[in-house]
Amino acid sequence: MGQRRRHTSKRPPQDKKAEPRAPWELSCDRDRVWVMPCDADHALVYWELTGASVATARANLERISPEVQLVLRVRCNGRTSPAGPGARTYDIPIDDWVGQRYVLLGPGGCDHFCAVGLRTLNSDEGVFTALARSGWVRAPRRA
Amino acid sequence: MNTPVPVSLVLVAHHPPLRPDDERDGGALLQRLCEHVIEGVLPMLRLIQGAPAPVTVALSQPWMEAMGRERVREAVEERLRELIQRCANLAEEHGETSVGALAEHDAARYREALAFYQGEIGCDPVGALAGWFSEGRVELIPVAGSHALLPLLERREMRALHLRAAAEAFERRFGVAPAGIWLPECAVGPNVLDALVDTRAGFTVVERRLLDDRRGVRLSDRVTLLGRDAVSATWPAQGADSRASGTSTSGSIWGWYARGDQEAPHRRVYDPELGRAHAAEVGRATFEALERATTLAWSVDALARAWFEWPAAWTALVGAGAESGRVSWVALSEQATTDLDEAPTIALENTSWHPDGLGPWLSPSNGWLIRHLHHLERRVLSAAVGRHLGERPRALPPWQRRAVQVALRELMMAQSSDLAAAMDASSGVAHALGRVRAHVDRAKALLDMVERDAVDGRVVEGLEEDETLAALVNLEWLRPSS
Repeated sequence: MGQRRRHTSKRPPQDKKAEPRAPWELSCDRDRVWVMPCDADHALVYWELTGASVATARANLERISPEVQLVLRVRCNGRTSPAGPGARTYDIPIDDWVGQRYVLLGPGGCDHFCAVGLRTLNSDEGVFTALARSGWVRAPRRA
Repeated sequence: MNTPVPVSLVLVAHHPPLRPDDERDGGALLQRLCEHVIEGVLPMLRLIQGAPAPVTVALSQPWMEAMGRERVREAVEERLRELIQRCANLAEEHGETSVGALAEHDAARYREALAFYQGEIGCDPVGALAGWFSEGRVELIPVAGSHALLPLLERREMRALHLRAAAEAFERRFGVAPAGIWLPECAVGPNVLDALVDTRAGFTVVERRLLDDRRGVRLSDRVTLLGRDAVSATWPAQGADSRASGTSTSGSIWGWYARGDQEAPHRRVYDPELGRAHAAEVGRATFEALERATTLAWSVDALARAWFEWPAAWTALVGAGAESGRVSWVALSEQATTDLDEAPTIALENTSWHPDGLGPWLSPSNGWLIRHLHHLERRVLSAAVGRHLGERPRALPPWQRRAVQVALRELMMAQSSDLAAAMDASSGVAHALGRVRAHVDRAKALLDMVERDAVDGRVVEGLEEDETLAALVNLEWLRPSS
């Protein structure tokens, strides 16, 4: 009996940091990435890295290139096959070992995962070493 | 003539957990709860008592607890008496004017509501429902856990705990296992599906579009998913009643009058007859728009806020269905036994009833909370099985066990979707943040004591005195052998 909803959310800004405002400190005991679709277009991702894993990965990659960047990698599989139509991978440079971010999703029905890792800057693609990876999530279709 | 299509009507009764500090000094939450009871719950109960059609009511544990509290009962009675008095004063003041007539009308409405509340149901909505449930006049099912959004919980044990807690609390209260379970905000995802199958939930309701527009699917011999039709909205339109009622306000008309809010935009006069006629028209129009609908669900609270004549709309909807011969109104459990497709491998998206999926609970205002709650989940679950005592799960010493039990309850309350939703709203943000912080701080303090093997019994006992949602928690369910 009525179609409009009372509850309207503030839509997440695309590809923007979601600043944590928690009044608590957390100690990170292992590397992890968690992702969950917010709507048909966006997902919230958070990650936590330990200093030790970042240092080890950095030391390994610096043998290939002296310049490495911490990135959040978003992988979208195609609808019909992993490399099929709609498939894409993109990286978002990040600065912090702990943080969260809204990322853009691919087409509805496509499976995604996010990984946080280090990437060398010696070429366009670079060499990527994942430190943590989320599980797969499917982008919702539009309501 | 075609066979009538089985269609289910569902009302979801939920209210955020009420804490002792909300009840003091006529707190805002208690005031809202009174409004919810007076304009939503009592009309709902009177509808069920009149039994125009089989209806399934999904009851959350926080709602049932609130309804049973002495302070709430007293507050509802006080509020009704206050409204009767205010309306009577208004009637006297305005005499034989349209405002006076409305005040008379509302005074009579509140007298009826008070008589019903005290006389017919003994100030006990849950008791009344339990009685009608045992007589087969209404179907009751529980809402999962503390009204947390299950896809947003990190661990499978935690999701299963919310489901099992609701089912067991329901069985303790009503004496029978629930036929199905309602998921808060109809929020689902692949990880929830696993927990549903684990806990033998019977049936639950998801958005119908997730089932490729089918009325329902049978996942296994344990779980059936029924599709909720988007024509029913968990939060109906605000102010949709304004056209015929001659008001431009949303919410209950009595609120404007009874509060004496001179600045309210209602200044044009509400006509109850016109309002009810309009509501009936909306009910009939809703039926005509149903087409292939099979499960319609509304939040009682939302109906109360948006539709002060909603029982008229409901009655018209049900009546139009019965007259048409096109539908047969059935309870959800009967819907679940109809001929449904088998779909053992369905892939559910992470979403909810909301057009933005899980967006309202993962917004920039509240999304930051998820990571912190996940941390707490891991700590509580680890302590619950005694992992801090050694590598293998161990039974906890009695005081540690009690401390973890309270910590788990605090976590479940912090996970409630109401708090996250309030952080995303325009008001109540500070209250919600304060509540989350208090729950998390208490849980962390308890876990610190457990992990240091230094549990202070007085602290635990003090926190145990607040019994909110205590009935939901059972650490035994988390032990590997259970």
